[in-house]
Amino acid sequence: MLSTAVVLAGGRGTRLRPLTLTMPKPLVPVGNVPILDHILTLLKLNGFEKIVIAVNYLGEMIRRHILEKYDGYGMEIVVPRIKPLDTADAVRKCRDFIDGDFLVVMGDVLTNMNLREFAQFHEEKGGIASIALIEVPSLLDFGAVILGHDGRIIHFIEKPSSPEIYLVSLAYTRFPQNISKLYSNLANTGFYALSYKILDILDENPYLMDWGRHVFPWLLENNYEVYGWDAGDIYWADVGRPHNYLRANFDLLEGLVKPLKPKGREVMPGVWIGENAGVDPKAELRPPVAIGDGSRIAARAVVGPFAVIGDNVEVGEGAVVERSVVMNNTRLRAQVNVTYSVLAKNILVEEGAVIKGFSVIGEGVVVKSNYTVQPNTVIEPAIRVLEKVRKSGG
Amino acid sequence: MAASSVLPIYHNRIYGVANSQLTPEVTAELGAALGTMLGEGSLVVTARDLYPPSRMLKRSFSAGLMSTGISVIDFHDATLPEIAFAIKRFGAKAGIHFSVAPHRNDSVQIRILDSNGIEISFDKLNDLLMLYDTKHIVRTIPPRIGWVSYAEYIHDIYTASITSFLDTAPINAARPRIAVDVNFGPATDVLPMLFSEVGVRFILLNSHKPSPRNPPRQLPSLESMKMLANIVDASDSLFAAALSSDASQVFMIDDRGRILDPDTLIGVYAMTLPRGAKLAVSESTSRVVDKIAEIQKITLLRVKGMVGDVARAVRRLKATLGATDAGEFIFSQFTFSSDGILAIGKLIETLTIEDISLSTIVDSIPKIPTFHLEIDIEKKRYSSIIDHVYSNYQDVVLTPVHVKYKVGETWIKLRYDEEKEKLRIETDDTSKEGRETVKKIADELEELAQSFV
Repeated sequence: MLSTAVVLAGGRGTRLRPLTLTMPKPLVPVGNVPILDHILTLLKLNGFEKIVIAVNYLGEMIRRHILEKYDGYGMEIVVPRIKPLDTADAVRKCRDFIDGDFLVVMGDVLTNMNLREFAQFHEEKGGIASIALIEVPSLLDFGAVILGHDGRIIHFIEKPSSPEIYLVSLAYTRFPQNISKLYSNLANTGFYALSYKILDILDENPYLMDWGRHVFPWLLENNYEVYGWDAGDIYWADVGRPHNYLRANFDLLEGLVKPLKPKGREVMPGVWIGENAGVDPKAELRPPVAIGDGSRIAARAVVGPFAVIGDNVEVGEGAVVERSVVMNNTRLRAQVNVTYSVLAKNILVEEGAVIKGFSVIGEGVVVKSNYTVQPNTVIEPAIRVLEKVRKSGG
Repeated sequence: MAASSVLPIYHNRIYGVANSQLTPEVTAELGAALGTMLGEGSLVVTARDLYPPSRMLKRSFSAGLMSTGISVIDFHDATLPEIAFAIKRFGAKAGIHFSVAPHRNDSVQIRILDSNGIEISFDKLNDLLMLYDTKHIVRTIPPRIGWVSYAEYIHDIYTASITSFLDTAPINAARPRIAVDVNFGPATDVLPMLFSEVGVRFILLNSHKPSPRNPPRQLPSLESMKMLANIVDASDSLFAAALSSDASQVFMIDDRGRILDPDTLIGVYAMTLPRGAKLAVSESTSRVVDKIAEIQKITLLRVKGMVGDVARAVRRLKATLGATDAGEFIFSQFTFSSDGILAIGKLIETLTIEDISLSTIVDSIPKIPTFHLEIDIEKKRYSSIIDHVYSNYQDVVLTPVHVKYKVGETWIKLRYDEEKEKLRIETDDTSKEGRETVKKIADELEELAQSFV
């Protein structure tokens, strides 16, 4: 039984800056749980026993996190620090830790995909590789796949342009009966089941660096059997951009990613509370909402709907937090208002300040009292917000 | 109300008389307004029906889009379902379709689909018209002006995709006969290809371009549907169908030559849904569908608004099927647009797999109580009744078979019998309030009819 998984966790997460300037993307929390922990939970639920986490950027933070949290977890977890040139190169450099067919999963994706079913599909088909596929609204940002009726991938094209999609679609119109779901936008999820032999191919062809751009097109050109597994109606989200990151948090709160869930105990439908968290009886929690360990919600504060409050966060009297994520150790003083925004760790938002929609505030920032952070603002870590920022109502 | 005082809108669509309300200059500005909303570098797909004014206005609209740095893929003449499919397949930010308007043959309607292939909401249309009115258009610098590509093979791609969506083996084995009125629309080029591919023998009515002497109409005529009924009888067809000019709506005749009420047609599709499926229908749909949902154990959702609102509900709630009593059917696995062609294909598939006739399904639909009255209306006066309804009521559903409109909380259905020259005024709301509304409307229309004399 396929029981080894390689988690690619070395990316720089540039699209999620400034959050990823001080934290590797796999440790960015969704529902107060790091994305990596969601992936490890999913792997454990699906019976995987050996996990290789390939780290690079801020890799020490990931190693420390694994050491602190996953000792005695019931899975063998190794965290090699590698310097990969791209996604396939990362797997090539993990060769010493792999001893059979294996799964490759992305360390920055939130999903509830049935990984065991996927592994079984790969074992039954016996191809060199299988790609987990989902239907997407648009193929432009994905690897697009044309699938034969036997599940074999006939065509793979990475991040195609619209004219390329037109030509590929046209090329396969003659025999639609031979194509599976020609009407569907089938796309690569970044989750692969691979034969051990792929490692030899990677060694013999050192110029194959990226799975989508190099390896899969090369395998198809050389008549290797690559299969596509339709993951069906599952949840899958790349949390690469702030907007997608917020959406993933909301979806987790809403229960769309089951069996994954936010941290804490669900004390009433849609309300998750961490250990030693304190909510003043005069505060209002509007589900769905998650409050982390040790956090304090003061009287007349309104939290939610769709709010994630991290560990040891203070939400002051009369403050409002809705459709937002506030990470650990951040303090929101009285009458602060936060909507549709992401606040990293260790931020201080002083009394009466307002943070408006789609803003992302980096770690350690201080927002002075009564200032308004305008919509779509991005503030780098540890910048003190001074008079430059417009006053509320000013 | 819409922000614009210049351009009329109806059912979340802009429409107007070509070269009067909608000149090439106006549509170029509208294109530029939409381009500004979408942002430079976006891709938009466009198509039109076979009506020359639609062609003229699409070209100027495209020029407006290009002026803001939008790239356009132009499919020339194509159906609305093809535009929706192209949005999904090619990753376009929007799709625009130009066709003759439903209730004004001298007018062109512009339908705007969003990046999900769903007709834009009233609010979004309002934003667009506001931008058009205020002329806050951001045109680009010459080197970044958009490009137009012509994609000649959209019919092939769309047809192959539908073929892959259908279970074609039982259709090929049965070799059924179908008659379809394509209503001088672009489905002329799609249906023969599709039917040949899946093994259907067919008769096509009103194919090719409309003639200048005989202007096109968005909805098929009742005369044409009666002709289809005769063809079904004579040719022993599985059924017949009549498409709207843009192929987004479909109306059907069963194997016994009966023209089906669009509510009945929704009932047919609902009867064939698997248990546990979700069906989203427009608010005005007959209560017979509730009864079917109860029997078939499917979840029924009623949605207020237009077909775009139903489509949004289908997407949000992951419904299997969306439908309106204007002959619109949305198959969510394919696209979120109403698709008359796919509705025909799915019905052929169902009937051949189950080896059952359409009339058998129709006859198995449960009956529900209704209340109705009949009044005498001369044939030549019926169109004035329709005009009266359009002028005085906000929520109107027009089909070749009936007109529905909302009076207070009651949906009234008007059906006209040309031979007997009688107008039937009906509601399935049999409460005292519903019955009183029918009586009130009967009096109102009778008085109106007398005023014509």
